Amino acid sequence: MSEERMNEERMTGDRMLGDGIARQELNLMFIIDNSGSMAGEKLGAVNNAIRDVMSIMPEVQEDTSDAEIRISALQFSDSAKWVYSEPKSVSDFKWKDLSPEGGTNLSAAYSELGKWLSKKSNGGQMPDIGGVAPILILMTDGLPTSPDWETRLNELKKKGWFRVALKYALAVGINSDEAMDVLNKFTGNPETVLKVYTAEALRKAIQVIAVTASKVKSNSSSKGTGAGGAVVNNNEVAVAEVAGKLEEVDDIEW
Amino acid sequence: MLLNKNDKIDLGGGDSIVVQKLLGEGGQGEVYLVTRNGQPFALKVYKDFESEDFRYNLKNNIDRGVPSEDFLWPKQLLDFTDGHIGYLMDLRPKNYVSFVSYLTGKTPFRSRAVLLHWCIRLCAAFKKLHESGYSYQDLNDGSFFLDPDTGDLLICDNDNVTADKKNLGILGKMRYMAPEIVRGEQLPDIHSDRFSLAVILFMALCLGNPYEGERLKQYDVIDEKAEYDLYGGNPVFTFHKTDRSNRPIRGYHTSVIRRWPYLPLYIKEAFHRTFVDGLADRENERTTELEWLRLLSAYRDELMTCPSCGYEMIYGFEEKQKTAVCPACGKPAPAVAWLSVGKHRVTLEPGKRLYAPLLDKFSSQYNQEIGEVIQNKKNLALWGIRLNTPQDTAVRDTAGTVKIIPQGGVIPIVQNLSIKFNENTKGEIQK
Ligand SMILES: Nc1ncnc2c1ncn2[C@@H]1O[C@H](COP(=O)(O)OP(=O)(O)OP(=O)(O)O)[C@@H](O)[C@H]1O
Ligand SMILES: [Zn+2]
Repeated sequence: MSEERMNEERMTGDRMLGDGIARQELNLMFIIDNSGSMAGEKLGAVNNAIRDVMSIMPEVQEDTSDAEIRISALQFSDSAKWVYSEPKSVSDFKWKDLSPEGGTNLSAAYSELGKWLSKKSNGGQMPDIGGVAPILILMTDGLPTSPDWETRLNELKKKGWFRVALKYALAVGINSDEAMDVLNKFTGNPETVLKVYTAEALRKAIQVIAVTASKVKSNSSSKGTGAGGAVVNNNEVAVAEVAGKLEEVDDIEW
Repeated sequence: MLLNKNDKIDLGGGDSIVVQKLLGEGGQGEVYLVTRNGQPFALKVYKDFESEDFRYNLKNNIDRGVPSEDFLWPKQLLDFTDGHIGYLMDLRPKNYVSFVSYLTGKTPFRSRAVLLHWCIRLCAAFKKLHESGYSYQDLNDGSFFLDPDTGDLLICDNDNVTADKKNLGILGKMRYMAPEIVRGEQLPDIHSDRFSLAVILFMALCLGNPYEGERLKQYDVIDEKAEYDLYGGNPVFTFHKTDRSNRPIRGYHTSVIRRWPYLPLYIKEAFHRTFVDGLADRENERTTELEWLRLLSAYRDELMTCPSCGYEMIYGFEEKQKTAVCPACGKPAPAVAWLSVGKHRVTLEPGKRLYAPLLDKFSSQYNQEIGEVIQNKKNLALWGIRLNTPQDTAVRDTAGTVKIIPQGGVIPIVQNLSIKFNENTKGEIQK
């Protein structure tokens, strides 16, 4: 038997006893407004931005053994629909361009999101065992056309998975106080609502949030004096790091 | 980006470096490929303005020098005019892959013997580090690299290494940190390093985390409260002898469930001691580097290869029963001869390496090869031990015939052969 062949067989031998560590799932979820008003440049920018960020995610995944990143996307216009019927791994998630259509039924989006933010054994898509708090990124350009969105949001807020999630909202080319209020209510934190005015700014914002937050949430070392213990709030760390990185990007407002 | 391509940085004394490209970035800093007199190096630049304490510590580590060749140690401190600091180090050679890549199953070691070789190097490196009065303080899956073919080790991220009992603000990474650090009762030191080292070894051997089992099901989401509980407040070892509340989960922790049963008893005991008794008695019940070196070497010594599937199982010298069937394929285990020297027992099969402590009980060179089992090329049934020790060896067979094997010669592997390696060291081949 040649040495090479022997090695190959040995490898198989060891790998028969399980070939990788069990990892916690980390869900990265995009919630995208594809209503008629997003037509043209805005939706084009969103499509490109998500495709771009997906090209970097394999690297992020490669650097972490702690978490397995799962990606999903929810599109909403007159109604809301998941792009895939379940969250996908970094390598299986392929972006298909969204086309603009209809109104801005944010209520439907919140209901759909709520359905997925439950354990799998309860009909949702969150892991039954463990799991890291998800990252939610909402992108929209205007006011909801569904009047009961706030009721739906309040229902969503009762979900544990929503409460612990790291929530970002990107206001795509809008600036009305009313519209911003909707987004502030979603994230519960004005610091994580960003206004983006150009395709380039949108691309950078999505990239920084998705990459930085995934890295932090699956990979951080704690810093501190040790006084209060070493437990860190990953969401806070991620928000601070994202903020630091976005400072360099033009055309983003807080 | 703190630096740009072609930036030239003056090191003083006519020496300078030129930035080539960004290699990567982490939480603390950015790492660049730079050249100095045409030679490539890695330059790490810190994003924040680091404290004077931090700078002093880094400088001190550089001046004291690398504890062992396995550390990718800082070589030269850089002070930028704007107050940022950085340091030069060697580039990580291309043959190394991350420990993460091994853990996730992407890059397996060539064999279990090579995996153990890596574990032994890891323990030897930490022994050296601790003997030099340092503690590492932030052992985690991101700090280690490996050559999957040779088992060579590279330890990166050495900038938080400090004199033991001194801390510069890094506590470590959750899931690797000792519980007393998670709880905020202690700052990292040699004893917490030992805890984390055991976690890394457990992960390397079993592909799992020692505290992750059934209890994961109690939490909807693993948030800060759950982490505090699992790894700090009330950690329960998944293979605790009496508390069965946190066993690995079937269908989820598959690798651990399949690997743990086939570890030698003495390795299981060493983990149990650290992960159970070592919770309360951090100074005395955490397996030390030297103990690990002995135990892991014994494990490597008793490996034997399944002739059917190639899986490397243990002979079972310390078990209630010796291994009868291959754990991976279920076929009968091979009948191998072994060499016993003092307390050591080494199974003899072609390719098997012998190491210095076998013949010198004062040696701590657990990876220094002193011999190898070889196979006669013309008659594959003839096996022998080629020793590269400096002296001759005397052997005596069952008929009483004594032969002198000159240095570099081959000792035939035949049953009940007595071997006199030197005045104080005798051994025997058994089957
Ligand atoms: N000597 C080196 N040769 C080649 N690449 C390197 C070297 N040192 C670091 N890198 C790469 O640079 C990147 C950042 O390095 P590193 O992880 O040390 O940064 P860090 O700020 O200390 O990160 P963290 O604080 O998150 O651990 C990594 O992708 C790493 O692989
Ligand atoms: Zn087998």
